[in-house]
Amino acid sequence: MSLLSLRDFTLSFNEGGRLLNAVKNIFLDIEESEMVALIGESGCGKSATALSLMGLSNDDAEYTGHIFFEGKDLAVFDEREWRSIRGERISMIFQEPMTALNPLLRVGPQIMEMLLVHQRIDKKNAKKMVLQMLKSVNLADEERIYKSYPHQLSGGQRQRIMIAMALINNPSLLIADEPTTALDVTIQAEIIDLIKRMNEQKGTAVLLISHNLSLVKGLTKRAYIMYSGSIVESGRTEDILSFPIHPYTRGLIASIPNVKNRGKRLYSIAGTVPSLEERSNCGCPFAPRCTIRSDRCFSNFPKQKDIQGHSYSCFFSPDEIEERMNG
Amino acid sequence: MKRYFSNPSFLIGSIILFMMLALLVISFFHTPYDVTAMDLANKLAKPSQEHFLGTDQFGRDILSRVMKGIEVSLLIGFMAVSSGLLFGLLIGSFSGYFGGRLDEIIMKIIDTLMAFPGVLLAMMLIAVFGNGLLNTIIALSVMAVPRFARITRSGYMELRDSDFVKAERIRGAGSLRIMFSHILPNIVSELSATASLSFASAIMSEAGLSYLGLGMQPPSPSLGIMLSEAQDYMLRAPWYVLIPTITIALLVIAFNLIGDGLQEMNGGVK
Repeated sequence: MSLLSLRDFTLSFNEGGRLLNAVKNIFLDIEESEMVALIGESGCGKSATALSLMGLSNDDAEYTGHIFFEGKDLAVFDEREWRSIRGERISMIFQEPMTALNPLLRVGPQIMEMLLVHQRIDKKNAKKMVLQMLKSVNLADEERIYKSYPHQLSGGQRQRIMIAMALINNPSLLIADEPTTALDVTIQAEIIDLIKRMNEQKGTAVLLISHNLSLVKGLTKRAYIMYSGSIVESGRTEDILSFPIHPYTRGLIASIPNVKNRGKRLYSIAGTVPSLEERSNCGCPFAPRCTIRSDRCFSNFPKQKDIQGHSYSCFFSPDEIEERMNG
Repeated sequence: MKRYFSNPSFLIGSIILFMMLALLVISFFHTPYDVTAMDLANKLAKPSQEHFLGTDQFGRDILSRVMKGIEVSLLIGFMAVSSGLLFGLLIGSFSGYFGGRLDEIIMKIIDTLMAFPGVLLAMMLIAVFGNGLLNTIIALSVMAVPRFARITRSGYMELRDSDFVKAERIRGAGSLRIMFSHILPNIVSELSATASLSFASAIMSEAGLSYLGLGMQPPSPSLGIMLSEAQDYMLRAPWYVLIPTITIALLVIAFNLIGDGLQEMNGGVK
């Protein structure tokens, strides 16, 4: 049994009587202590998926399908049950560590609050745990950090605070929603290392949401590629990066600058991700931007095909795609 | 704290208020004369060594009465503002945080209350429930509620969708905790400025109501009552009118200056 498993999960928003699907019929699994990546462009439904895993979609959102977590179906949970999951069993860190802390409270007590909300613990022991946690996320001089206000800390330090906060209750799943996007490159590596170390030490499973393919390389075992609310390709990260099948994934990888295409014009996928209103409800979501589309791509959603654990959703076989894209 | 006193408005306001508070504290232990002790032989006496600020039409010592009058003003102002703040905060925070139908209904009621001139509203309440200290306080706090409710509501509406509140929800905090230990500290500064300005208007309104005979009743030494009694002797004893007038003005100016100072320091005039 996986730790988390989304089964045929659809998230839709009711907009003036029309149901708009932000996430459509996705299947996603995370095993205990596993690091999994969810990759896609902005607006493709990554963060909407993450928020529904926390039970925090908008009021006008509707789900169908199941979210199995530790054997329970979260899709039927009410607000009180959700609260015992959030921050305790599933934690989340965000893109913007600048704004996710209350500017008027010292960071130590803010972390401590996580313990007080979720556990029966007295303040003295809680403070001890917080200091220990600060140390383990590599914030030296933890006594001073404890007493600091968010504005006194750097972006990297704040992201470490967020990680400390997220992990202090030993959740079994950490959702990292673009945790390094707002940080500069040197700090990015440190934060990624920290997440990786925490995953190894504490056995916390991690769902890493990113648009950055090179970030997940060598970090996560498996990856899901999402486009416009659907999973278009999934499998072992190495397989996807070295042998992408789906035209979208190929496009993504081709648009990363590397040594081979140095000096040449960088590939870019034509068009942009359609907004929620513009998405058509039938057919392959990538068809309008795809270079190898055919008529049937617009009328039916391609079934998922599987080649030794590497799944993709396209009507064409890998060889056909290869041929058509290069031809 | 030092930062606050470097603001001239706040500094001057605090100095005036401090002097008023000093008079208030002294009045608890000692007033030169009993506030109701009459001395008809000495009525409308000019300021002199025995009566530092003169006497009124019954020969009562004006200084003693002003000292007690400050007590009445500040007591009523404090009670009215703090209960107005408490209810306004509760109403505004629930309304702003949860929004929706409840918010609409509450805000319609608040708008209705705000549509009445405050003093008229207070007069209506006093006409229905009768006058006296408690009813004056109730009337003035009802007057103060809409302002606090509106400010609190707008603060909550602004912050309920902010990232740190979302983050807090994701960390599993309940609504009450988010409302009162996370959002509230962020709007305290705005509320404190409003409280100070409301304090000034409560003192004015109390004096106004007492002047009209609707607030405190003689012989209790309210500044408003002194003013209404003194106006008959405006030409014979001008100091009798001036002293309560100046006292009311100083109290109002003090709170207005403090409120302005707080507002300036919280990021400019709104």
